[in-house]
Amino acid sequence: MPTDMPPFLPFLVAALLAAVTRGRLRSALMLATPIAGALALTGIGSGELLQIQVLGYTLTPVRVDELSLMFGYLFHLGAFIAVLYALHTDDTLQHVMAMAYAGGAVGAVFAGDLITFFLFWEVLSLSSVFLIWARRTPQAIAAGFRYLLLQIGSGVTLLAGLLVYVAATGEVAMNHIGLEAPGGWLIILALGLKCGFPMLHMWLTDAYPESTPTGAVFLCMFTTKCAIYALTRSFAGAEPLIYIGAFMTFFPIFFAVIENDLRRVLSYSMINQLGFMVCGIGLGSALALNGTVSHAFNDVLFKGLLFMSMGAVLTMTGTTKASELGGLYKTMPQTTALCIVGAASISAIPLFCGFVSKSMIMQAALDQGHTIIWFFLLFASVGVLEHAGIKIPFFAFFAHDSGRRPAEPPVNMRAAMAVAAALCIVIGVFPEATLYRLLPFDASYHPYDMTHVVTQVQLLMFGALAVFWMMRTGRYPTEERAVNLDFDWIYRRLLPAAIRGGERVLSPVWDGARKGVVAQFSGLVALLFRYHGPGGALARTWPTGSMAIWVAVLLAVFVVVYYL
Amino acid sequence: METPREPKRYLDNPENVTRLWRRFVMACAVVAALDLFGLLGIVYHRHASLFVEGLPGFYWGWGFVGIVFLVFGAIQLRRFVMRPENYYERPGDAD
Repeated sequence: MPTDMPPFLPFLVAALLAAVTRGRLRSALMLATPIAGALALTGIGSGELLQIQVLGYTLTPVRVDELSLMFGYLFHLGAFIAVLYALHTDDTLQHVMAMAYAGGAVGAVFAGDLITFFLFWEVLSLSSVFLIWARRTPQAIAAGFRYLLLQIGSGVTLLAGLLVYVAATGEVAMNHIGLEAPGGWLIILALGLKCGFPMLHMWLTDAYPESTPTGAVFLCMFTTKCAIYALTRSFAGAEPLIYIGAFMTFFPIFFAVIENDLRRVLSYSMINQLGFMVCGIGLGSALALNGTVSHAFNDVLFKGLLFMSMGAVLTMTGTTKASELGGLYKTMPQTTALCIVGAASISAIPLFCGFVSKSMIMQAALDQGHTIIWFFLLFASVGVLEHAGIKIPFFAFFAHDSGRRPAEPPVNMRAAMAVAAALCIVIGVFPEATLYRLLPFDASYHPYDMTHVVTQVQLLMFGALAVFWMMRTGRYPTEERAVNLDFDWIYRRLLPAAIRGGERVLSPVWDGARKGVVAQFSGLVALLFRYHGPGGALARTWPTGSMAIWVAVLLAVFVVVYYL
Repeated sequence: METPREPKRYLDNPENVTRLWRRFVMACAVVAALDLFGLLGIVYHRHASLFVEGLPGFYWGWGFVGIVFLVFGAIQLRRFVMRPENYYERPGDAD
């Protein structure tokens, strides 16, 4: 395997091949792509491996360092799991777009300059939307368009930001940018949109739950993690990110408690987890950044696992509404067990992978004196336990018996979940031998400290105690067949309503104005017709002699005026 | 033809659920009591970066109160944001 091959190339080639092959051959090709790609990464060099000159700028399509390499491995691993999970579908559109999407993500993290990064950023948008449309329901088509609109918005904002930045600094390399740099705010806004900044997050909770069961697994792995990567590289230590991140951990958990669609609960949960990462980027210390990238790594595994388990439920029952589920553990015991591993991991229970990464960010917040932020993060940690740790597995697989008796999902789905679950446990038990070896920044951290383990167990067990106490005493909110308004309401309801209202007000005015203008114009036309129309005085034919007389008269007037 | 009856499962019996619940409460009590060991320096030595964090009962109290606050907060949030399931699907809607 040549080591100077651009890492994104195998995926883009696989996307083309997936379009023309079928059956086992296609399955083998798609499974082999991330494996071969990851093997090639082990032998890849470091530094700027590929550079080209375009219009006087040096573009670096492939730049390898520890940070990009870690995300590179992560995306290959994620792609492998998601491809395995999606093998049973024979929807060519989804397979092609999923490979292109993975290629876009890999390309973005190895992009050494802003222009290449922008191109892959757009590949991410344009390929991922098909994973939503591929559900082929009217809701999915509409949600896909809304998703695409915001993703393109992010792309355009990024382009504007990088044009300002490149014009002002003459620099195209993608390194630390910072908020003080010209165009810095535009770039961070573009990146923030894709990683769910508050009030820019609604595309995520709107579109991900509408995607196909397998598409959601790809979606939850790449777009937001690319944004986390880019923020880590270009905005580490930007203080506003601390507060934005803390707020991101805080507000979605309230929505997650009352949300009925379990894949939407996971989408809110995703914003909460991204909040931890954004907060870590804002803190900017080596420990915090290591926490951020390792949490991104783990999030791909446990959030992927949770989305896979809910995708399995969706595939087998046709719904992920909590109000219509329950009691599935009776016929889906394996999926139940795998889902619980994901739930335990995201809740940061010791010996599961979330525990070894989230605590780094929280420790960094304490070390840097951000006590109030730490309290927020601690509250958000308990909140995760409630909605992702308990609500997801409990309402899908236990709770009240829905009477549904679905079979276990296809074997490839279970295998993919098993791979992710095994990794969640292996990383949780042996962090130093696995995940921590990939960490790009220099900071030592030991999660398995007795105080830390005991306090974490206390926090989580009493959180669970509170949930079950409220459930047993009827204080816990019942699952309602309802939707909850979020910021997407602004463009799904408010703007259309405003436009309709404006139309109602303006249309009489317009009608009146139009009638007035038409009346005036009709008068003008009638007037012209009178004089110039057939039989009009000015359209009549006149003898040549009368013209000669008039010329003579004009000449005489001119001569008189001239001599006066 | 009669459909085969499902086997009765452990969790189908409410008594078993209550039994599990009681065991869980007891386990929580044991875990809470670990604070005493830490305080006295037996079994493990408890260290803390903040004063409140070192107080016995801080973590389990925070866990319990945090969840109660979260759930009651969410119930209040429902009053403002909850709409019927077909809210966005009414005829004439822009999407």
